[in-house]
Amino acid sequence: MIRAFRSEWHKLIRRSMLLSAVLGVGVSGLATFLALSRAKSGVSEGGFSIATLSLSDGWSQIMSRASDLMGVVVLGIAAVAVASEYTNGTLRNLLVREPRRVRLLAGKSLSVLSFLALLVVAACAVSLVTALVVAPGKGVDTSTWGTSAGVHSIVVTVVDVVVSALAYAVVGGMLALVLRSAAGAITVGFAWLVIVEALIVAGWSQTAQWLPGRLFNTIASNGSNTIAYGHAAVFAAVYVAVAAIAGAVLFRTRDVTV
Amino acid sequence: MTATLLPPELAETEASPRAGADALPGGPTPAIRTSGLTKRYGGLTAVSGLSIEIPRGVVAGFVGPNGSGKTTTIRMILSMIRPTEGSAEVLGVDTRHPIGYLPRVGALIEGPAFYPTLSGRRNLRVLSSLGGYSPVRVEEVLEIVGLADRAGDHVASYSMGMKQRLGIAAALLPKPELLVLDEPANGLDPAGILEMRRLILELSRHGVTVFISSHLLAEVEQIADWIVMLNKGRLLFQGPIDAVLSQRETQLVVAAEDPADLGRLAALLRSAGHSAHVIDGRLHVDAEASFAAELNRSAMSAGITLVEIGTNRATLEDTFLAMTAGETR
Repeated sequence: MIRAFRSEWHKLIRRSMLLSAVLGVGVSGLATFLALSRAKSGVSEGGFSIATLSLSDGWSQIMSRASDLMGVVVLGIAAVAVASEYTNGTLRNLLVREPRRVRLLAGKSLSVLSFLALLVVAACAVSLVTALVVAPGKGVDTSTWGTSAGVHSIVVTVVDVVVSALAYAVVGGMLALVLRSAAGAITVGFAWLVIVEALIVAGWSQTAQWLPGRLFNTIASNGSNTIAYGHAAVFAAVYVAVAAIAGAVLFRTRDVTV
Repeated sequence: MTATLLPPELAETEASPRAGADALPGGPTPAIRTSGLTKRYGGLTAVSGLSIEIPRGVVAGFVGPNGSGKTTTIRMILSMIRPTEGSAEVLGVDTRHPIGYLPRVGALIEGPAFYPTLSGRRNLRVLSSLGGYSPVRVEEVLEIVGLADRAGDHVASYSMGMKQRLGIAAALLPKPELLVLDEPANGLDPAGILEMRRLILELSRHGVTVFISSHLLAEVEQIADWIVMLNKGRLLFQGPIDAVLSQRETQLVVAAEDPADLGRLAALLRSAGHSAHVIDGRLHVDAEASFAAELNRSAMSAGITLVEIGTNRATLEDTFLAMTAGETR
C-alpha cells in the first residue's frame, strides 16, 4: 500500500493537478474577498455583518460558508484522479504491477486524500491571509481572531473543512469508479449534492439531516441550528464508509476492460 | 530502439541457445497453460474453451484476426478479467493468485497507455514505485529502448512509435521471466520493427519467454518458434511454428521463352495428374521443389524452352487463411 501511495504522488504533482489545486486555492481567496467586500454594518441578508465578522469566529464563518464550494472542487479533483486511470487506459499498467486491487485502491486513495487535505489547508491559509488583508479596510476588527478563542475557532474550522472536503472526495472517487468517467462523476456529484439536495430540502426541510451533502456542509460549519455536529459526523461517516466499501468491492471484482 | 544494448542484467550472463526452441509440453511447468478458458459477455462468446500450453523460453506468436479473442485471453492470463469457465496458470501459478506471478511478468496490453502530461521518465517512475524497482532500473530500460534522450519530454509529444517503445520499457521494468506483448509492432516504423525484433530475440536467448499477440502474421513468422492460432475465440492450432510451416504447400512458378507454350505445358502436366494453371503469364504448378527437374525435362521433350523455374511457398498468412477458409465462408 505504501508503494501505491508513493506511486500516486508522482502523478498528483503533474501540471494539470497542480493547476486544479491552484484554482481551488484561488477560489477560496476570491470567495473570502467577496464575502468581506459585501459585508455591511447592519444585518445583511445572505451576507455577513461587520459586527459578526468582528467576533472571534469571524473568519470561521466565512470559511464554513465557502466549504460547499471547496467540496465540489475537491470532488472534481478526486474524480479526475480516479477516472483518468480508466480514460487513459493506465489502470491496466497499474494492475500488472500491483494486482492486489484493494491495496492499490487504498494506497491511491490515501495519496489523493492527503493531497487534497494539503490543498484545503492551503486554501484555508490563503483565505485567512486574504481576510486579514481585506478586513481592516471594511472596518472589521480582526484583533479578536488572534485571541485564544479566535485561534481555537480557526483551528477547529480548518479541521472541519478538511474533514468535510475529504468526505466530498470519497464520494467523487466512488462515483468515478462506478462511472469510469471524470465528467460523468462530476456531473452526477454536482447535480446531486448541490441541485437535487437543494430541491429536496426546499420541499421537505426535515430531510436535510439525512442528506450527505447537507451533512458534509454541517461538519464544515461545526454544526448548525438544525443539525447537531455529532449527528452530522456519525451519518457522514456512515455515508463515507458505505461509499468506500462499495467502491472497494466494485474495484476488486469488476473486469478491467479499458 | 538500441537493440544492441542488452538489458544490463542479461549482459552479465552468457547467452544460451534459444532455451525453449526445443521445449515441448510435458516438460517443465509451462510459462502459460490454459484449460478450457472461456469468456462470455452476455450472448457473445469472446473466447471459447481455449486450452493452450506455452513452453518456457520460447518466442510464442499468438495470432488471429482482429476480434478473435487474443486481447481477452491476455487479459484473463494477466488476471484483469475473470474467465466465465476454465482456468489458467502462468509461471506455474493459478491466475486467481496474480501476486504469485505478476511480479515476474512484463506486459504491454492493447497499446501503450500513459499519463500524457507526465514525462516518459516520470511515467516509468509511477510504475517503478508501484512495483518496488529502483530509479536506476528506469534509466536502464529507457536506455534499452533508446528513449533516454527524450525521457524528460511529456508523453503527449511522443510519436506512436515512441509511446510503443515506452510501453516496452515499462514491460521490461521487472526484469521479467515472461514478457507479454500485445501488438507490439503497432506504430513502429520498419527500422523500429527490426530493432524490436532483435530485442525480443536477445531476450529470448537469455531465457525470457515472450508471448506476442499480433494480427501481423508475417512479423510473427520471422521471430516466433511457437505459435498459437486463434479464430473466433477458438483454438485453430498450437505447436512449434515449424510444424505449421512444414505443412505449407509449395508451388513451382514457371516462365517459358514463348508464353504461348505455357498452355500446352499446363495441359501436359494436368494429363500427368498435376494441378497447373497459367496466371499472369506464369505457370503455377502445385508440386514440391524436387519436381522442377522432371518438369524441365518434360518441357524440353515437348520442345518448350523454359527461362525461369522458381518456388513459391505459402506464407504463414496463407496457411492461416487456408485453415480458416471453411469458418469464414
